[in-house]
Amino acid sequence: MTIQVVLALAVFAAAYVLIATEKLPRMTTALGGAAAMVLIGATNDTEMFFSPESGIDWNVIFLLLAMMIIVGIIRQTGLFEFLAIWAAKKARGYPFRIMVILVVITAVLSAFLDNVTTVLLTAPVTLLVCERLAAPPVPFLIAEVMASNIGGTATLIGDPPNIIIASRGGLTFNDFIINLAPIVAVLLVVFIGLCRWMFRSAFLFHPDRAARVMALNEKEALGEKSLLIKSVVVVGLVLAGFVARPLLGLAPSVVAMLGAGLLVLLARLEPRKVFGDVEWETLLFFAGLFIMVGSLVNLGVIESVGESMASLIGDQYDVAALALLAGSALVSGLIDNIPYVATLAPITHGLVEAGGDAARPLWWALALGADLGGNATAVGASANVVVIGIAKRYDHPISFWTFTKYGLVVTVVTIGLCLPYVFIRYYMF
Amino acid sequence: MRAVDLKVSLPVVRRETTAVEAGRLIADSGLVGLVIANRLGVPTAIVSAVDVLRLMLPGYLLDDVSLAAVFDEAGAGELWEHISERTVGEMLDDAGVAVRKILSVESDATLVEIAARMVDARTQIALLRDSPPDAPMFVTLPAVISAVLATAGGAGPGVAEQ
Repeated sequence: MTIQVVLALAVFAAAYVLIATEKLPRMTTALGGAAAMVLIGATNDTEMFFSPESGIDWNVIFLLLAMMIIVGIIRQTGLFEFLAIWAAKKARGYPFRIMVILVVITAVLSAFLDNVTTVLLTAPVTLLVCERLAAPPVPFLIAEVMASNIGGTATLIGDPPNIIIASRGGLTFNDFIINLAPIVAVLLVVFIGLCRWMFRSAFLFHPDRAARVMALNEKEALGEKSLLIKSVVVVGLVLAGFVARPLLGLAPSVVAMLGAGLLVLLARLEPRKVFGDVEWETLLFFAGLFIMVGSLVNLGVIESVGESMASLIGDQYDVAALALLAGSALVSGLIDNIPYVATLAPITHGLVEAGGDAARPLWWALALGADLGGNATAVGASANVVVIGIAKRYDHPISFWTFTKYGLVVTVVTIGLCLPYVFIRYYMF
Repeated sequence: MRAVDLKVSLPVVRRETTAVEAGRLIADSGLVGLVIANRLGVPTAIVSAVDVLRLMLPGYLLDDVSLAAVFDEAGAGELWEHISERTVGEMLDDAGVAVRKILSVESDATLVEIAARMVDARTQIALLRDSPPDAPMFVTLPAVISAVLATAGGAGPGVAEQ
């Protein structure tokens, strides 16, 4: 092992520790780590910006950017608020029914939006409904963030790790729907049952409070009707573009950028509203991560790890998939799943290249483990941290252990269901 | 015209002041902002009147303004019930509120200096640096604008033609 490799591994490990402990903003850590990789000669400008194997994955960056722009514009329509209040009224003010509907809405939204965006959209209206009901908001907020982590697992665009996996694995939107959506639908039903049990004391029905929910006028939340129509049409076109990739041959990033551009053109909103939801720090964080992982690719570290894993696995891809699923859930519960997947994706790619069809389910094991593992602890996913912050701001603090005690139950059950799913679907027959 | 010529006395609030008391000061006196004092009673910060209004609203409406439209008259009325529980301290701790360190100016500062410093600090109120600690005096934005207009001849060309 050369000095350069030792230094690169030290930089990588230090960056992981800093990201996990949040001693520095994660963007600062990732860009600092990338700068250190350049300084030790592990990468250079050509590799960073132009190499498909070891450079910044522009498909991921631009897909995220485009979806952030689209969501930023849709937010102006009031559609989410309308849906949530409409649903609460359909539930006639019964708290559990409301939770079920909010969980389903959050999970479905989350399949098509970033999880953090989803919970930012649903949290204010949840607080409003809970205030009207005199119901404790904490169970509702926890249920929603977990639903967003579960729902986001279903599609290519639902969770950032999936975007990385899709790009590195050459997987399509339809691949994710076919392989992950069925188990996610099952998990969601089971999760609703768990909510009924875990939060049973939160579902007291007060007729007078229910009347306060029924008095809300959801139509008033809707903004300009023409913007709503344009947004729905463009989102429909973008989703159709994702699904029709085999026909169109356009990468998801290109489809999303075309959709974002079209919506910007049609919406004619001021730049502050169009780009207000773009998380530039997140995009730079991704860029820094790709450079760091790419540096390890350049130095042959990822290849060596892949070869070691391949010799360890042999042809036992079933065992490898189950281990990857469980291991990813464990790691993702403890650290941010984005750097974890950014690191594991090139290793998994190598294994799939070597193993062919038998190794292909490793991608789904990685996605399920990394996405669902985020529910395990309060810091397992960015959306968890955001919701805990919102709850604290509104005087409904959620402690680390309060979240984690529910999170561990949900993670054990969901991963426990995914293990037989992966084994039966891909290896039993 | 100097700062001392524009000085006025203003009410000073503290962290413990309730939203109701702070709002009453603004509503009754037409203030554009509030001076906040530390535990020793020394003016240290300024918040704008609109941030005091922010203190009176439920937080979720600040995060999602479109929700404010869904209440009927009775529902909207219920939202103000919690105002008495809120304090200025909560506003100071709110990351969304622009709490500005108080701007202090010399008593002999000229009008243009006061105006420039207020714009630079984006503040509506400045403290006279050498006013007594137990009776601090301030210069307010309306007084400064009024003095500027008076010095400039009272009006622009459009008004002068009338």
